[in-house]
Amino acid sequence: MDYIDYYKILDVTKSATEAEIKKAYRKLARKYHPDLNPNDKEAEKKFKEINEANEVLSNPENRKKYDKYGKDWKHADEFEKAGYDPNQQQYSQQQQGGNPDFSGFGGDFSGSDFSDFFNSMYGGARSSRSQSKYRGQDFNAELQLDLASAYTTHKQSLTVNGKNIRITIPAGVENGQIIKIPGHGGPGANGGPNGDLYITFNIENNSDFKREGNNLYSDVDLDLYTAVLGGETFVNTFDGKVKVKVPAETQTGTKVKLKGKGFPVYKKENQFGDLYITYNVKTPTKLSQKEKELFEELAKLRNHE
Amino acid sequence: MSSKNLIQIKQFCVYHEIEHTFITELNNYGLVEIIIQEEDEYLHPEQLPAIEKMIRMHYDLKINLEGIDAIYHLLNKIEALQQNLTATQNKLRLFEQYQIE
Repeated sequence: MDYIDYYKILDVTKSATEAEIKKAYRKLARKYHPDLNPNDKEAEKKFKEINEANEVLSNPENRKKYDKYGKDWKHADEFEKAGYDPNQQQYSQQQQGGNPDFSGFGGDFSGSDFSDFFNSMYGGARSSRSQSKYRGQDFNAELQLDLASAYTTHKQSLTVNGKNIRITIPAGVENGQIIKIPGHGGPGANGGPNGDLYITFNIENNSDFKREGNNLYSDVDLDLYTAVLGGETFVNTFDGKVKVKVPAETQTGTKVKLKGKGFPVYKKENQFGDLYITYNVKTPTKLSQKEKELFEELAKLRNHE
Repeated sequence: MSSKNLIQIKQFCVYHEIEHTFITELNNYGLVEIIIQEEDEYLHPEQLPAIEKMIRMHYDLKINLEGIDAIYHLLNKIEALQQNLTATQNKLRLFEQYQIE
């Protein structure tokens, strides 16, 4: 746990007036407020820092204590002996009756996480104008899935804020996609509706297929003889093998589209993307004497053409 | 839709300690839709996250309605750009996989 320079965070001098602190806070809050910086973890972190700095510097009592003991926060016991109430009764009362312009901002983010430094100085006490909201708070969660799980619609149990919920994950969900589970966020107040749960999917692909949207891509090895003479080969798809006709004289790099053998289309039942296979013709190795002779003969034939 | 599922604006404003005119103004800017049923005004619950965001912008960040209107459109653009970015990153990942092999 390190000492935090709240003046530096708000970019004000130690002699800054209340009005200057308020102005600096407002300016930075407008810059870093999570409402104005969606999905920006850095901005959220910065916003928490400036909120904490404001919580201390905008309150005369907190500021006085910080200025006096801030750098010596490790000697908390001595602070108490010096007459500081660890429960910070005076602090919370003052906040409740204080100027609302100076209270912390609320929002759909976890702005209440103050630093260990703050908690050691002020016992974790704080205020926030928007602590209890009419509509419940929205929760955000991340869910790790492998590609095979994303291929089928399935149910999964999650623990969100200590509560178990069972959700249906529709087939075809994309990496980075966010789905909303209405009503599974925080509880509403005064009859207000619950918040929603937003789940971001991180899909890991450990398969041999590459996925782009609903289409899948894979490489298929083809023996030389089938490639030259044509024939059939078995190709792996996500739901089993299929037999594919190979035309004679197929080259390495030839792409073939297997219609409807790709990934399921999100929330569209029985609709699938396509599977694109790329042939990779394998040259035979460990040739027998006879095979070598035959290849030489083929080479001569080709050279005489 | 029955008013049972709607949020009464009067109650919403009391809870948030905001003036009714703020919601009316948001409606004038086309930022919210007010539903009138039996001479009472309501909001659709799905609008609440956006409205609460606008309340924070106005009352906490002191942004005026013109600013909120501009920000609202920019946030929509950011959302679309972030979706594009995710799709592009997924494509890039695919390309990088090919490069490695």
